[in-house]
Amino acid sequence: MAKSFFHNKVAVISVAIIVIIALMAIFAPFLTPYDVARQDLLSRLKAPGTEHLLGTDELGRDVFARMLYGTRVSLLIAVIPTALAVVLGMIMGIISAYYGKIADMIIMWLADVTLAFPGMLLAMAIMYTFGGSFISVLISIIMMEWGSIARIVRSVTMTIVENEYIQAARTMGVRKIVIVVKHILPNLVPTLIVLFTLNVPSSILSESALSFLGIRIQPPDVSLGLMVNQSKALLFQKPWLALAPSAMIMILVLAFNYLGDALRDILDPKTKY
Amino acid sequence: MSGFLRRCVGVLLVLLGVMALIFIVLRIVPGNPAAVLLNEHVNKETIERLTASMNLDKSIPEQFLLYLSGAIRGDLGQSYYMKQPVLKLVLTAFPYTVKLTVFAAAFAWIFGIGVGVISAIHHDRLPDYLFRGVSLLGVSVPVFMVALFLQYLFYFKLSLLPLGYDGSAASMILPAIALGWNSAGSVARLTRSSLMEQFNEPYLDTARAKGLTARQAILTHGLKNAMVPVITMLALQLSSMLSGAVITESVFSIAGLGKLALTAVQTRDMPLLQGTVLFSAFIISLGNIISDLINSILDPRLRV
Repeated sequence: MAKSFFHNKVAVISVAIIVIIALMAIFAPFLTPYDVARQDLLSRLKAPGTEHLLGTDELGRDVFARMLYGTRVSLLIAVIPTALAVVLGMIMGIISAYYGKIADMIIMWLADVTLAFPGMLLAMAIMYTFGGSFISVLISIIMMEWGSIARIVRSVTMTIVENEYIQAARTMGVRKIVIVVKHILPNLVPTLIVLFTLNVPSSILSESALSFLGIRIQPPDVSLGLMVNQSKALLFQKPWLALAPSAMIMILVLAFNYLGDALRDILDPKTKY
Repeated sequence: MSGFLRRCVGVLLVLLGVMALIFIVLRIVPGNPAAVLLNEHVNKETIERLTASMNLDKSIPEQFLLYLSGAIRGDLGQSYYMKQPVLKLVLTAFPYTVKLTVFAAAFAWIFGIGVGVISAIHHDRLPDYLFRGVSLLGVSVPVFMVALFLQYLFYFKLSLLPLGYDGSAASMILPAIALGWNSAGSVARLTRSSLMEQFNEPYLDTARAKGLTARQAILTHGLKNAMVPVITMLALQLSSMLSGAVITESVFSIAGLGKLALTAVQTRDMPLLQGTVLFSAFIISLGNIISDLINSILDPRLRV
């Protein structure tokens, strides 16, 4: 498995890009001398150059520094809520597939209910109630993503359960929970990895869209979506202000999408989702 | 037909869940919306009067039943901020969103299916790599980035198209492309893989034996079968398009549902937000039923 991973150029390149961006975000304080919030009104709206790598915004703040700190937010959003959504979807999917018809009906009904909402509008309702905090984004992303994850886990679990060794285990009287942990879970791992990788980009896009609409993070906090929102008014005069954070979002999302596709080919060549 | 009926009952149950969920999400944090609305300086009686008129003095289950029976009769309540019935505001905004979504879907489907078919026919050769790159780029750019880029290029640099929506057909082009861009990417990816799965099917050999060229057989017979999953996706796309419409409508200032929902959040107008979200979920459920119907026409095996 590791060998076919290193033979897949796309996978290796996308991992490299993700790691580099993550390192840049983590070590942001060492990469830029500028503070994200410090305003320098004498050097407002500088074009990209040697002093300010990507120029400065309308308050004289360094765009490169803000972009690095904004990337931290995007990556945090990318990883934590998505991981929780995958865990919830996994638990629900397994219960649905393996713990009887009534549980299946209720869980699939719940999944259908959350999937009936346009994700963005559901997130806006959550922001209305809980404000634009990290917790709100966490809840929103879990609500948006768990349903489709649960459906896929359910169908994959159903095919795993068909295997003869699981039927043999059941005949021998092995308890359900033991079968789930020892036999079903290991078989689900490839699917879960692919689902996680493919849901990360949707999380990044959702968060950036909510920030762009101005209903999530509020200044002086930084976020890539908020940076684009703030530079909207100067789009025609200073296009790089909007370009830098948008490009960062795009590169991250693209890298995760390529990685997800490649991982699916490597880990799970037969499944289609 | 009983399968279809069962499907409809399922959709009704989902809608009931949708109504319950949005009711809970908007009310889970305690606090009197009437007081928030009027702010603290108003005397107690006014607050009480408004509280009573909004049914906020009743218990939560009672409120839910009132809201449920209202929604069934088409009464989504009164907007706090705009002082008009929510249903009226939603129905005024809806045609704009329909127009935007239809144009966006048309763009996504023509562009997406075209790219997907070319990719599949030339699979694993240069045009395929090129177009697969384009479609992955399609699903990877944020909607607002496409929107701003289009404004920059077509309004500012080329002065070809208007900046915002002004009612003309020309001013709908940029919003439609901005909103359709993501979907075009997903449609292209799915069309490609779905069409390639048809390549080894025996019915294509039959079509070849009857004298069609390989390309004719794929385009006339293969494409029809390959469209089944792509059409199922239409329903899913509807949901993501309504999400994207919030951004597109705000960038191009179109007075549609997304803009209405955004205004509702900004002005803390709970009935308006509730009504808009509910209405969108209803549209999505309707879209699911319609896509089922279209698929059962295309593929007789799906008729239950």
